[in-house]
Amino acid sequence: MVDLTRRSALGYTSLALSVCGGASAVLAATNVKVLAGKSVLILAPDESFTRDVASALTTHGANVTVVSPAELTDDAWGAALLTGARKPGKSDVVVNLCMPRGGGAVGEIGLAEFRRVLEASYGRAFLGVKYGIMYLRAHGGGSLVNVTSADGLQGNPKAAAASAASSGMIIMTKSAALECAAAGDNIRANGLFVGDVVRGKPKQGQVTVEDVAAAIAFLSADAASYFTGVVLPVENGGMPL
Amino acid sequence: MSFKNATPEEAGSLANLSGKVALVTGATSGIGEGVALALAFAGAYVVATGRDEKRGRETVRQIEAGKGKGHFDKLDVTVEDDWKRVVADIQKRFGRLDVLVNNAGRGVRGPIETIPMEGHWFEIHLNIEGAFLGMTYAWPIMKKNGGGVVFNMNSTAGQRGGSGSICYGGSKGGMLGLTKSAAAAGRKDGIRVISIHPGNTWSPGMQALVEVSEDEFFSKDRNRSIPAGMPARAADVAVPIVFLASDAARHITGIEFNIDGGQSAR
Repeated sequence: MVDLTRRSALGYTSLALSVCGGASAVLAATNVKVLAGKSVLILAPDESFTRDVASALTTHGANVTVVSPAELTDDAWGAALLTGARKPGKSDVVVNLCMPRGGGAVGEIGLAEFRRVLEASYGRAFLGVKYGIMYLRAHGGGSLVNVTSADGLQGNPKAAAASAASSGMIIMTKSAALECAAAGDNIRANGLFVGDVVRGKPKQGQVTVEDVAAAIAFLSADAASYFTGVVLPVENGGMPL
Repeated sequence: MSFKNATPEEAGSLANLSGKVALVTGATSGIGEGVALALAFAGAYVVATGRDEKRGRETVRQIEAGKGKGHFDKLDVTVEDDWKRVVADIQKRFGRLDVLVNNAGRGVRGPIETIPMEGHWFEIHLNIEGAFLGMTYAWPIMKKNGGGVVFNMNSTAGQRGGSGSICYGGSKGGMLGLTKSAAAAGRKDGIRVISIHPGNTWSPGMQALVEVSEDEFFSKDRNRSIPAGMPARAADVAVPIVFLASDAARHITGIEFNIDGGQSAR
């Protein structure tokens, strides 16, 4: 269960996490504390998906903090992560959660709606990558994992803007990986592209928050220190269920 | 220290594969040996196979020295009767096969105009047919037990080609199509099929090919095109395999996973 303590207008959320009851069958089978001793900072819009991912990450041994800057501005993100009075302490892993939604079909939406979706999703994703990297640099480096929708891997006739935002994350992740490697700043940047995530009991083939957390743990593990610029799809090979 | 290579022990710490049975081809040296060790250290029982019994027993000795379990069985991946015998023995001993790593492979190098037709056929037999036979014989036993995971050892040359290895790149490209089609077919049978793409990776086979020392192979000057600044080691190739073999990766199939220190991000 997750005990949420809401703090400040900056959207800083301190999570006191403890996991009660049994973890999922998959985690029980895995049963490896890949993130033991590591702190994970999740940059996310304030929603229940974030809390569930945070909770699942604790089963891999991580201490989790969530930061949700309220406004899509450099000032708000800089204050929340780098300069504000309540900027978070050192974390080894930054998870930039961004699951774009909406937009409709290309032939149905206007430019204003397209821009709205792109700003809310891709714009937020950019700030997450930028300030995630700046935050990790300030703390000596670490692992950045961008988590976005698998809509970016192929077209979606019902969500053109959201698909565009997700697909942009492929190259933004690779660009960030190359930029960090060239800077020699001890930051690895990888991406996770997940299919529809269900809460609660999944039907066969459905992705759960535990699956997302396991992949984040893998990409951020010390054993994966050779890897950067990886784009990992978690979506059953793109095939319909 | 920014980027670093993994050890088989570190790779093995990524997941708990206890209760699973894995078959690794070409486990007698290089990448196959590293993958066999890491899977065993993760708790899987490993059937390490290859053509060289002496080196295969050395792989098993290392597995047992690390408290892992496994045995050697002789298998030339191009010989169908070998596959029949090895898989029948696994069926008899364990009644299951959870992980197949089609790793055995080799490259014929040289300028295109110097490569004989035999060179082309050698690559096709070893790289494509070897993986095909492995999947053909592993499939029924995996399917019967509700599923499994197949890893086909490809190469970045199978995605982007490679100068000086036209037949190798060609065969690996064919192998990629084989892998993607198998992944699509595996959907209904619960069998995941994943393509693994190492870039420059240190191994005895690589050493024979490039004819340089280990120090030279890892030198900064030689690895400027790799964002991580260094080539991979066998255990780095084992890292994604251990995680992707686990149930925690049950929704990951049909993918190409590169072990190239970020090179393919360019």
